[in-house]
Amino acid sequence: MKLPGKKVLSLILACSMAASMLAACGNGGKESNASGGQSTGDAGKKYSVSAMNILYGAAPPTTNSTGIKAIEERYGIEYKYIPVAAGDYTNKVGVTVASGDMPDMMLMEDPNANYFNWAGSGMFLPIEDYIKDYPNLSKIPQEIWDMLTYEGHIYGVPRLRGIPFHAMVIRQDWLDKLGLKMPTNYDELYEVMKAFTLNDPDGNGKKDTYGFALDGTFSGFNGLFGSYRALRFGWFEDGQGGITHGYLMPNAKDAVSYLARAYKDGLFSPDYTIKKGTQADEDFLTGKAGIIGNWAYTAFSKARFDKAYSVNKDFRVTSVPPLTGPDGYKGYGKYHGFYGFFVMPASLGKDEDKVKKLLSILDDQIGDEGAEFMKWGVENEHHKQENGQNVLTDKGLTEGTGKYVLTNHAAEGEWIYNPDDWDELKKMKDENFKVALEGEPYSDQSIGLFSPTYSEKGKELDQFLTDQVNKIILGERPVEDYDKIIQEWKGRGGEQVIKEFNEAYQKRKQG
Amino acid sequence: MSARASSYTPDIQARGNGIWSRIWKVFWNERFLWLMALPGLLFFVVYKYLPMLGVVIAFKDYNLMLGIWDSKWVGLKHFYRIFENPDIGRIFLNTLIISFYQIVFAFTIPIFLAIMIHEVSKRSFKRVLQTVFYMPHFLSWVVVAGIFYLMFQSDGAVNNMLLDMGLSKIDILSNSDNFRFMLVLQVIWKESGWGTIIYLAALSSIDMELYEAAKMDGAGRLRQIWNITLPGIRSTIVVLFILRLGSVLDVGFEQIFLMLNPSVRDVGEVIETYVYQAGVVNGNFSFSTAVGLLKGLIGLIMIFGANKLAKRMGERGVF
Repeated sequence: MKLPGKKVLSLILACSMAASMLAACGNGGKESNASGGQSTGDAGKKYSVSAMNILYGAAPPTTNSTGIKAIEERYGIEYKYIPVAAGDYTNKVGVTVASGDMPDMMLMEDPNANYFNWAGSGMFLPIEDYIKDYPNLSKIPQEIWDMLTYEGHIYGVPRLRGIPFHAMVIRQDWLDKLGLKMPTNYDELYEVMKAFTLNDPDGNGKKDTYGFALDGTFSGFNGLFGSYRALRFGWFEDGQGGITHGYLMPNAKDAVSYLARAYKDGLFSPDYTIKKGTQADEDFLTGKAGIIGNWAYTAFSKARFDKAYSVNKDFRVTSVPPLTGPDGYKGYGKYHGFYGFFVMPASLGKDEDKVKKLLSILDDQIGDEGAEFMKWGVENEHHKQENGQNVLTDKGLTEGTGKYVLTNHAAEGEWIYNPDDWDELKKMKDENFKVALEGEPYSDQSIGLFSPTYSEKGKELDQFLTDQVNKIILGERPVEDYDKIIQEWKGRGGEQVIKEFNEAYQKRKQG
Repeated sequence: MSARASSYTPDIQARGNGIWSRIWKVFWNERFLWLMALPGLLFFVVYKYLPMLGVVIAFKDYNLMLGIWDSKWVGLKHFYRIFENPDIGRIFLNTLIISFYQIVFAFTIPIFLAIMIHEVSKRSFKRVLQTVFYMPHFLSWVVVAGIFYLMFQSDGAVNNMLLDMGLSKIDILSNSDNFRFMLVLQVIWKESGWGTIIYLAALSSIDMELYEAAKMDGAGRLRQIWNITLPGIRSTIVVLFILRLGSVLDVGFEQIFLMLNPSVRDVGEVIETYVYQAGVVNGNFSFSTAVGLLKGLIGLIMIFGANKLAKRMGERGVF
């Protein structure tokens, strides 16, 4: 099926136009109704709470669900949960906001240009005055609130994630088989990759393995070049009080030449450019490559290891502690600690009791007891005790409270485990979690900053860089051209992006 | 029609009735025809013409919040941006080259294929052939691309086979020298059979007596094809060719998007994939609409030009 861009677009536009018109008409009547009803109700009344959240995998039932019933009972609310598939999420958020009929709580995936636009035009309810009243919300690090602050106001409650990000993970059984020790710097890493390529680590008598699972979109570079602090799509401290793009960091050219040399020596799959992140993952799990660069602790899941074990029962991995970089630096990049945040419509400001109710729900799910409840649900319905351990029942897996969770406990201690993790997996997860934060981990400074040029051309600019760097790796351009490429990138709009991000960064630093 | 219309002229002679009442009269007389056409007309107005109004966002900074009408007018800003991009020449050229290959090969092969199927005399064998040729059309591009990746990647089936036979590996997917060639081959494999349908219909309407007469005159198979079959479908070929030129800048987004990778982007990036990246991924709907509008305009010019040319060559054209 061929879909000319214009037709699709006009269809989308027409649909969203119609939707917004309908919603606008419907809204006027509804709103006056609701406010009339609420002003007469007492403070202890049963609120109807709607929440829109991103969905991965199969959708849980939204009516007649025991999970929803349990949540309604716990909070004394009427709960309307709106799951939206991840692929459509950004569009759905745009249409929802445009319609003027936002649910009580809506997840925004990241503080992007749209978020700043909408926050600036007063669509969302500022909540900074309430935070101190809630025990768990007030424990969220100030760093995270800072990233969510726009012109002095906080509009969102984050979905907390771990601070550790991608680390490098290596096939321990291959290392053992070839009698190699864990690499500690980039020269040793090179030798290990070479041995993985040439010395037949899987013992099948064929030269069909590679050192590193590289892909054309460079998804594993936080692990691979963590200690280089370079070649990542993020903005990092440049040591002169400002921030700069990961491809402009001092070690970037070095990193590119490292890659070009490794490609020439055959340490990557020759047609790695046709692969995406998921294929690189597949290569690692099925024993085609011995090292991967984008495994955070969340990558240690049952699904992945089931797949790896089905190919090779001896599959064993270790997370590589940060290597020593060429300038002596040691550390991986950190994650910003949350994925998405819940915003509330500004119209809720009229009903302070409801705002407090909503915040208390989010607060509860971050706290120990509430998080425990959201993870396991009701005993003997959603989970049961087996050999002294909690196990989710079939019902718990399809419509348990966990399917309707909004935010969650901070990622620490026991809270990073999934219900179906076994002991060995938990151990690997712990190890990865710890390793990713060894040395001096550093953060992407651009989260929560806004550059109009980047939001307009960012994707094109990023693609320009990956394309040109790919050419250097493939040997189609000499490494010396890297400076030229950066100059060209600046000319295409990069210079303006640098300026805008630095202005925003300085503004935030000064508070 | 004209006979019926003339029969009302006496009524129109009534003084003071202008052109509108004449139109009304005709309309009233044909009111049941119009009633029958109404659903079709409504369909075109609602689904084809109203959405076209959305094209104004090509001249605005479309903002989802403000909607189509309240967004700010920016004139030709988005059109300027198309030409500001230093890669646009290359992207445009890629589109034209791939389109040219497709017209030269993917457009002509169905004609030969149709003639060959037509020449098969055994009916049942012809049926089987047609079904076999149509099949690939019903696979989606995602499936075709997936098969290609599995077969031709460096550790895929084909390369493993070559290796086992003691030959060296071939690189098809990330080789910029043959990328366009591969694209066109894919289109030929997938769509050629389907493309024969219209030609086969045209071929079946050729008078069989012509062939008999030719045989009597001693014409061989090839002679018959050249002097009877081809002229018989000439006007069909011309019409399809003109329509094909109208979409000269549409080279198949889905296929190219799926096959594109950083190694071949220099030769494979076309207008549609660029618009996807710059417009849709970045949420820049005004920009993608501007490109779409420009593309439509070029297509329109091509259709008019080709149509005129066809008429000059003595064909009927499409309008």
